[in-house]
Amino acid sequence: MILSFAFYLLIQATHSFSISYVVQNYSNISSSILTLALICIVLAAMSQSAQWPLHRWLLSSLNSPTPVSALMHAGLVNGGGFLLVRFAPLYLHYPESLLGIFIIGFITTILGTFWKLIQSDVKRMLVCSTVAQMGFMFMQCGLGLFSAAVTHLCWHGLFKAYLFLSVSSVVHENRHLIKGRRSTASSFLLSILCGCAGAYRFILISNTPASSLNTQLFLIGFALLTGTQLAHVILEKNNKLFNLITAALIVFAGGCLYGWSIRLIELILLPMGINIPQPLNSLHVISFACIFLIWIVANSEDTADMKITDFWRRLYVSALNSSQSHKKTITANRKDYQY
Amino acid sequence: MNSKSIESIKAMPSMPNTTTNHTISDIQLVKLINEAATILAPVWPLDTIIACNPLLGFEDLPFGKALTEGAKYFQHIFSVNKLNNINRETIKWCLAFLDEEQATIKMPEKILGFYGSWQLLAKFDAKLHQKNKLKKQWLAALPHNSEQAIVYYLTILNINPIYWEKFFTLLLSTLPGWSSYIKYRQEHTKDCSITLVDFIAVRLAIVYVLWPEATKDLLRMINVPEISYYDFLLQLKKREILYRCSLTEKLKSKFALFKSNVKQMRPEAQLIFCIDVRSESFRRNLEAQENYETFGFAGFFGLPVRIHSFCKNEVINAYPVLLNASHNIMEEPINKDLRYIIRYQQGKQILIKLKAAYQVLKYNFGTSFALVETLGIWGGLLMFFQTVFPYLTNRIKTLLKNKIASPIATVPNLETEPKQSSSGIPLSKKIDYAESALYDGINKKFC
Repeated sequence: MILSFAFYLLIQATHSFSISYVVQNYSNISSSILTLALICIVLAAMSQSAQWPLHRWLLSSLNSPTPVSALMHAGLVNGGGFLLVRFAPLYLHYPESLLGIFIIGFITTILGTFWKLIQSDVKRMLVCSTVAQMGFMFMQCGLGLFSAAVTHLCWHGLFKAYLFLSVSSVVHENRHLIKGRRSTASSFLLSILCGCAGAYRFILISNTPASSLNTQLFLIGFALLTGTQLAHVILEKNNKLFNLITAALIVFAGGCLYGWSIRLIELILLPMGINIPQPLNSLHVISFACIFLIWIVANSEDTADMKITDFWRRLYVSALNSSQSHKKTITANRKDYQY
Repeated sequence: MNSKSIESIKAMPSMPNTTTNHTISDIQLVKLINEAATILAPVWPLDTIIACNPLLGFEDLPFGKALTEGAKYFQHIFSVNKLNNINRETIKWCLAFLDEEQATIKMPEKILGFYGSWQLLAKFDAKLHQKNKLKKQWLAALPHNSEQAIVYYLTILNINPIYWEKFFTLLLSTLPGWSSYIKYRQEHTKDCSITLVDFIAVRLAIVYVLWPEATKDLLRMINVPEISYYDFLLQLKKREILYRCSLTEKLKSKFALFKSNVKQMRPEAQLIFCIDVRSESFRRNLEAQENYETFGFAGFFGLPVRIHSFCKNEVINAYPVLLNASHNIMEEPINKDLRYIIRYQQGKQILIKLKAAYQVLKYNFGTSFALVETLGIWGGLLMFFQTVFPYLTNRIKTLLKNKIASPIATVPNLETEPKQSSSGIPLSKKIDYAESALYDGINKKFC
């Protein structure tokens, strides 16, 4: 509905049914109509890609058979992202709109990740994870990095479909591997060093010049975070030289793989010219700092005290409630009990 | 929420335990609840699932009567909206508490048990208090002890003690899946963090908050006209007889054939198989070959052992789920060469590290995005090859895994060791098992 309205506005303004025509000739459209149309397109994309606060439908579709879920999470939810990418030049023309998209994506990422981590049911966990990943994709759009967003959509789609199809293996998943990890300040610092190596490799391969202060740095920050975490798993308990070298090499290789998979899609999308990093502003910095802080807290050992406060309880219950499906989709009554 | 129930909350005593009129000891209450739960058939979890007769609780009744009773308790034809609300909230909390190592962030203070941890969180649950101030206050002052809480809730719900057991049964049978699973945990595992008492306490509190006038309606639910299965049973009997007749005819013709070439002499070998449809064809073909005799026997051969795997860090319960293990058997590598074992263990460590790294990145804050972008293409490729060339893909996967950590041949160690009294089987027991396997298994026809 909203999308048809947006299209109607654009068709009225340009007398053309072609998206590429609209995208090229947006300067003729009066700015108020264009703004309205763009807002409508964002709303449509938000509902399609399950962005907060329009994420409920995805959680409520849990009851669908698992292969259908796989298809839905690999294909259907990506629609919103592609819609934004299609109209990318218009959004790039309005930096304010990009900021709006970024904030929506940021909120969705934080909420989705938190929901994902509290779920005890594997399908709901995957669904919440999709919400978070879509939020990340929206953030990438909001940073002006539309081809990075497409990359994320493609690889996330494949990965999530694979996870959905292998859902039943959780019965044998051995999750206590990651319990009882110890961390010391020195191993943490060394991990960061390894993370830097990975991030550097990523910069080289994905051809993202980090010299200028633009939004590319945001993505590099995530690469650094991941590299550090990876190195930390290898370095835990003993940070002997041998381990350190192994960790650095593995993170280096990881950065390589990451860079290549990003580069692959970007090369395909290069002619579209929709990867235009925006200047870094304080909001971007604050958002990253926020994610970084939560990451530190989530990985530190001394959170036991925090978890017996009323604040934590309140947070847990509200997250649990907001990640429930719509009540009509929960079978709460056994009407049929045939022998 | 209507004004009447708000009043009832207002009139509620702030210190619950002092106003309890009904004196019942905790032990009596637990007994009452377990009595009320007899109609439930326990449900086993997925990895040790066993088929259970859903009418297990009615086994002392004649079949027709059992069907009628089962329908009365478990077949809720009249969907009551408020009951569904209560069920949804109970399901939500059961799901959060009964997490099987899936949630990275667990339900806070799980160590206090189901009721204990729930009552600390209940006051924050907007789906329970619905932003109603009085309900919030009430939820904030819930009794800490589940037995006391149950008596208190029953009192304020105004339920006559003579109906208590019936009411418990209803609370359990209106959410049969979860209550049956909790019954399994209570009766067949050593874990007592969630019991039927906890479950009923939580459910009663939710009932009181969401549906204070439930008493009458719920008790009315089982006073529905009884469904008669007379015709159904008649039909069933008829079909049964029909089937039996045709089967005996078939068997008779076969038996005549069998009798004519029955082997009188001593069989050359006697073989015992696990009694299973899969062994059936083996047995038939073997018996057709030579003068062999085969027997079916329970697959664990009467030997309830727990095998501690050497390669995988796991314990295999090699016996039916309803039994308990009487012996622990350790697996040991055949080749005792230390270098060989160390190499294997190093390889295994690498695999474990890789898996741990994957899990840490996946179940974490902020790191899963880069992980997805890195692994996406591999996930896609793996999916493609597993679909198109499933055998080849699995062969390559195993090959790679074996390259890193080549599995070593192991043998179960049956000897009892003086240091570890719990492992192995003592000689006298071995003789007993061999004897019983030979005599019971071959039905005393061992020659």
